Amino acid sequence: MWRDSANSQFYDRSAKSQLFVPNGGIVIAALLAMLTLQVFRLPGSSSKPFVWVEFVTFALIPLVALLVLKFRFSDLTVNSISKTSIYGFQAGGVIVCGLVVLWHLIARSFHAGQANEIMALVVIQCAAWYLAIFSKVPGFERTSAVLSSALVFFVGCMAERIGVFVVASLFAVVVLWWLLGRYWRRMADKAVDGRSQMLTINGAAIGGTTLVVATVVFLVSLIPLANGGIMLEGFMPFSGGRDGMQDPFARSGIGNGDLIRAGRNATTTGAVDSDNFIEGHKPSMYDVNSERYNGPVVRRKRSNRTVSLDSTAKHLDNAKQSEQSGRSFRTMRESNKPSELEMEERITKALFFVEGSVPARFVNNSFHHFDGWDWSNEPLPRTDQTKQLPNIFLDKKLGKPVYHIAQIVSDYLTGRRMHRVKVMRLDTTTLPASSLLTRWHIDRVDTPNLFRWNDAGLIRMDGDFIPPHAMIDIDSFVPNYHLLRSFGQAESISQPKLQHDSQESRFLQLPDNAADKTIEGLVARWTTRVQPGWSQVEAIVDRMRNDYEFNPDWQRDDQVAETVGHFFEQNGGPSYMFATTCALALRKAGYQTRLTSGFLVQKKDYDWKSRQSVVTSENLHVWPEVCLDGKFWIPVEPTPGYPIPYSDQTAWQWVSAKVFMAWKWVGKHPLFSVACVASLAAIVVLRAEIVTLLMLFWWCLVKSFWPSGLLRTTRQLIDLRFSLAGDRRPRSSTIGSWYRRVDPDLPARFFDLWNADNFSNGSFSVPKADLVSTCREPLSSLTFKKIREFTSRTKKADSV
Amino acid sequence: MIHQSDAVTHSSVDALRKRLNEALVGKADVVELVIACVLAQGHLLFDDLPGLGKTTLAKALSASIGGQFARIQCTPDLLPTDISGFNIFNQKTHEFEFRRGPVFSDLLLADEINRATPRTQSALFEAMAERQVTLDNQTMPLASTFFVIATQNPIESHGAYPLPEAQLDRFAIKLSIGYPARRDEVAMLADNIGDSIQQEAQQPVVSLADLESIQSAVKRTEVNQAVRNYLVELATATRQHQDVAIGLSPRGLITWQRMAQAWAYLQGRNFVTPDDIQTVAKPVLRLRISGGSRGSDPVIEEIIHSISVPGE
Repeated sequence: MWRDSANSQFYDRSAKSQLFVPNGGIVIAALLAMLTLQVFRLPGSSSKPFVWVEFVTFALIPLVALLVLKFRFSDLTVNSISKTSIYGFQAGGVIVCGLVVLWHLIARSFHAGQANEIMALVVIQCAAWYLAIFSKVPGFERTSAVLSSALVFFVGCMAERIGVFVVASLFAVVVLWWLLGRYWRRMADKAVDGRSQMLTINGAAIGGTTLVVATVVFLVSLIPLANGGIMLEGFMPFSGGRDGMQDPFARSGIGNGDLIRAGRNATTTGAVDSDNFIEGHKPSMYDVNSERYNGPVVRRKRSNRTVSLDSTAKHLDNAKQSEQSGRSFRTMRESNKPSELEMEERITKALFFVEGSVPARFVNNSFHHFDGWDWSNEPLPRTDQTKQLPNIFLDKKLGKPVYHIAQIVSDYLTGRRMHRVKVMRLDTTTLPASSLLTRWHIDRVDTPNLFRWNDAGLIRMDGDFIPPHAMIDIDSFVPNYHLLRSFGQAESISQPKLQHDSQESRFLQLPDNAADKTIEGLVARWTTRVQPGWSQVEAIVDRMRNDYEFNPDWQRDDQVAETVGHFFEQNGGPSYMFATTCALALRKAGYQTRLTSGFLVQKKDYDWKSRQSVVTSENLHVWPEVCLDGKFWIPVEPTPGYPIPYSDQTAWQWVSAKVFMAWKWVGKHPLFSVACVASLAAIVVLRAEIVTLLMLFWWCLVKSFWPSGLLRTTRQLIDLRFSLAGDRRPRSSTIGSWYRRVDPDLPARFFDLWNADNFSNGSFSVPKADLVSTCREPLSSLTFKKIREFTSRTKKADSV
Repeated sequence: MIHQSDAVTHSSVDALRKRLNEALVGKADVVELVIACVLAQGHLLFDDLPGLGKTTLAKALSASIGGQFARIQCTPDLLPTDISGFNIFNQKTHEFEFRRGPVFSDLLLADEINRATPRTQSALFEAMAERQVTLDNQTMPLASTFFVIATQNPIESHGAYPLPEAQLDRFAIKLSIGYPARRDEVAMLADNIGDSIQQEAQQPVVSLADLESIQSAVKRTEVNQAVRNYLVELATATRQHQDVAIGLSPRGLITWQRMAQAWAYLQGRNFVTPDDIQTVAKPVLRLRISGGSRGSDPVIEEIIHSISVPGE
């Protein structure tokens, strides 16, 4: 043996053949590579808990897999591993990488995902870790070392934080240690048989070399990489800065909200395809939130737009701070070079950008009064408004200001949906959000009473408009349409209140005109034999979508007829005609309805490259909304070709709805729930007995109906008992040798029959009665209890 | 599962088993393997410490089987002609006459074979592999039941010549007897067993004709295709194992199958099962696989554990 106390784990030959004992050096190296990436990622991540949860999860997955495989295939060794098994291990690595990608895609729906580049690094990180855990599989150890080294090298080049360099230095030391161990191992393998394999290893030399390398790496890491402020936060567009320091007050309105931070002396600002932040004279969210908001607008000094960092690095010394820096925290550079494009040509067409799942609806206005030609939005009586509209209050969550709408509770609002909106040219005070908005957040905006209800029952911001580049995180409820449809069947929740008791409601108002009779007839026909409630609403909407033709070019002729009449004459029309007719039909059926205008963001608007949807004036749309419980507005879509609201329910929404339903059901049936839990616990505790009992039942069935398979079923049943007792028969052991460990006096008849059936070419026949009695012998002798006792006895003896 | 025609020969095997168990108390498993080796027409190598009953068992076996028995006590000055025989000039007839050596017997006991020089050891090569002796361009066949039992002492290396791989491969199995259990040792002393062996050694219990008949019955023992595949997979595994320098040869594989057939026959079956393959694996492979410092047994176990048994 060639063993050194310090490095024994690297070339201990006795451990070489154990497949599920990973190489310690490479595991430590991979762990340090993971930590290097963590240190690199953390400051730029929007959600640090998410990053840590991801780290722990994907560190544990290969470890758990290792333990499971070690338990299941304890007899598998490096020497006996087959090619198929190697392919299996490789497939496992691919699955882990796939899980990482899936994890990030899911996380993006919670606004916790990161850029594709970061995701790629995490995939490499997890692959290296997986390979390190299964480093005894041929080829895995070296591949893990290469991936880990590449990862650390790349991260080391990209970062200038001291933490990254400290961890990277440790990584270098460990990899050096591993390489030395590997070198000695290879030396030992080449020793001539019959000769002494005692190799002298000078531990002090290894330690000294390692220390020198570590010191050099550490000293090198202290040297600053560059004088210029190059700072890539998660590879996203950034604002930069000369000294690389982050100015927390420079975030509002720049970059992408919380994710991106500007440097103190920022040299690039503004949105991707628009510089109106620099050139414009509109107040930013910073201004809105500062005391100087609504003060006199000071016209800024005109200057040429700033350009990217690289080409201007040499001019950085000439940069000077803007006179407006007290308000706009920017650094401008004077340049004589005139801009090639006019300002108007560079302004984006986007009204706002949206991150989050689509289709989604962002309400801009709503109307409740229709005179036959026009919808109007008369202010609600003050008493009604006070009664219906809940309070808005400011709260803090994780240290960030969040506006809440009080008392948003309904059994039918089970799902949540989050969007991030970046306002560009949306000159409105109405918050672009769903009708079921529950809370919203704008970074560093914490002014109380900044948001109020407007006359249309929507949230508006004080001022003339929401400032461009404001980043708003919106959290809305998603109605559970399944529950709405099946109301009356689900006993655990209250029935939804959709129809109003009194015909005096403003949302049931109908114009007095000729089309009224037509609508009445249609509604009566469409809702016949349909259960009142949401089913009737959907029946009306479905008929609208199916029976009429959508044509955006058909316009209303004011001289001929009112809107609805014209719609019926044309047998269709543009979306506002569909919405109007549907709203009136729903009102006729007794459902409080309002007409809503806003922006419908569809899949086609989604830009995969930037992972956001671009909303322009082309997204303007009109749809009706039905009132639930007197305070919630549920959108419906009567226009054919437009997506039904939330028809593409995300998996999370589906799961949360189911969980909510289950929770309600449990609350309604406590005794039964306790009984269920107790039964489940009993099943878990007695699972082995139950499974063997079921298998015995199956054996009886085979005995009665398929006696030819009785031998095999008997063997399977006994094997199952061994497995459940924790003493699974290895595939390399014959049943005779394995079963006789428990009972050496087992009758040979069963084994003789089994062997003759499997290994003899000659034919033989056994009467069914004999076959059954022969199979019954080992079954009655090798009981589950007996096997379990034997297993525990053996394990005790082994441990002693 | 036994053929009706084999019933008679099985009684002879039972008698042989009884005789050998009386000669070597408490080692029924060793005796069983010795009988299997005889039935498989293989040659047997005992590798164990002195005084454990190697020669006693060999002599008991020779005495139990009818036919001519010869013994060579191997020493460094033993010559090849002392084994194979030699030509001598007859002055009366003025012709060379061939004087047969001990190899022309039915059972040859080569005691302490590793004390003979490699040159002398080689004299046994042809006899063991091809059951014939070639001398001065004359080839003389040996008895069809020719069977070699060799013994060697593993601890005394001074003045010993380890058997080369090629020679080892000509043996079917290598057995170690080991110390008897305490109970058997007490019984052995009480019964004074040595005397009784000498008394009964004069009476063979299996005739050569019966032995030939049994050996041909063993050859007819059926080996299923799945079992054959299993054997080949095991042989391949020996060649791929990293601690095995030279894997199992095709001759070794054939020997393994034949031993498994003999074992199946002894168990009263006319077909071979994976159990038979595994049971005879260690005696067969110990000769052919060197596990280096780990020893061959752990390596053999690893090889067996690496291959799934058929019939699952």
